[in-house]
Amino acid sequence: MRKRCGGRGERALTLGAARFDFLNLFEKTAALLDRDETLMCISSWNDNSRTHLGVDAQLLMRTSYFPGLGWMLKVTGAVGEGEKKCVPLNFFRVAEIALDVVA
Amino acid sequence: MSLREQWPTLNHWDNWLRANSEYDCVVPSLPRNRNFGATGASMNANVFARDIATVGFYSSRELVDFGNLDYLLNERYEAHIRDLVKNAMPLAGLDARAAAGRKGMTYLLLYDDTPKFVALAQFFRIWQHPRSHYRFLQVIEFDQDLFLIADVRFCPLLPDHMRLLPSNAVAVVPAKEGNTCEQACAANRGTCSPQDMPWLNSCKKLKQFFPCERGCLLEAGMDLPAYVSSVSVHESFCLLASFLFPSLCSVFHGDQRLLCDQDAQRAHRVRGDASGNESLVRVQTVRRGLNRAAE
Repeated sequence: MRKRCGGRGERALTLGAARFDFLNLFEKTAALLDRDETLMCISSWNDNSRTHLGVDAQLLMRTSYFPGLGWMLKVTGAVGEGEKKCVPLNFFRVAEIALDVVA
Repeated sequence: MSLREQWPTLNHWDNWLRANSEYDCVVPSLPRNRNFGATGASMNANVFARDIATVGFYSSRELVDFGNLDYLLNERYEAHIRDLVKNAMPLAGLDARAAAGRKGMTYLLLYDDTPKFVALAQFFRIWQHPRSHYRFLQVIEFDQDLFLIADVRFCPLLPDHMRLLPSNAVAVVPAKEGNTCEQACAANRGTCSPQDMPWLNSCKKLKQFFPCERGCLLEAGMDLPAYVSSVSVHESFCLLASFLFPSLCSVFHGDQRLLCDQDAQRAHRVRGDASGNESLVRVQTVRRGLNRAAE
């Protein structure tokens, strides 16, 4: 088993029934972080999504603007190797969601 | 240096990441979480009601099949967006879309300053500064049409004839601590050119003129972009404007009693020598403005 320290849900965040698809989203997209070195993270949030705008539950998009709010980070690549296992998010109480991946 | 090694111990690390990272992220069209933080470091009840509470949320227990994700790979995605732009109908204004007479259209809306973007954002009821954009282009589906909203100054996905580039007839001048852009440009025998300031609002550009030892940070203010050279919570950061106000040539930030020079290292030495009072220096938050002087 290999443990990634990338899944983070911030303090003011709730998942409700979407908690199932929250993890599903990360599981299905994790390989993109390995395949594309110009990608830094997968987020479950989209600032431009609105209840009065058209949305598509299956559609994913790229953004150059870091979205935050429930995101998965690859600890190598863009963030780089280093001594610390996780980046220091000192001012947030993070609920770390360990994504165990079968090696 | 990797992002991990530079990662700051700051409240606004997300704005640090936005200013320093040149990488992309993948997001869902429909979010898988809901944010309930109506108050916080950069949140209040009004903004929350307008920009957070209205965000959509996938509320089903059903797991979504996202299908083949190859379309999200860098080159393919960029080519896809370029195609969308190429085939979109440019709109001079939102009223003009009625002329199409049908739905399912893709429209291109361009802006070149903050007031124009705010007007579009108010219409679509999205954040009033560009967020979750892809290379300064936002894709919004509204009333069965697709709208591509792009900044002609910064979006490289637009064809050349649509882009607005900075004037070649300007020089970039780093100001002394506590000086206004007017003063810096006058010292360089030029005139401050506020209309060219937006192109200086990048980490890459700031690093050409200042050490930016702790990297860049998104902030708000009419005195930006700037480098914080004095002892403060933001010392050694270069500050970019998250929301492009019109930069003012007459604005400065800091205590004019401090002495400094254009060279950052010499400035520190001269300031320490001249003040003879370290505690005075420590409480200052002084930004070194970066100015454009018309030649």
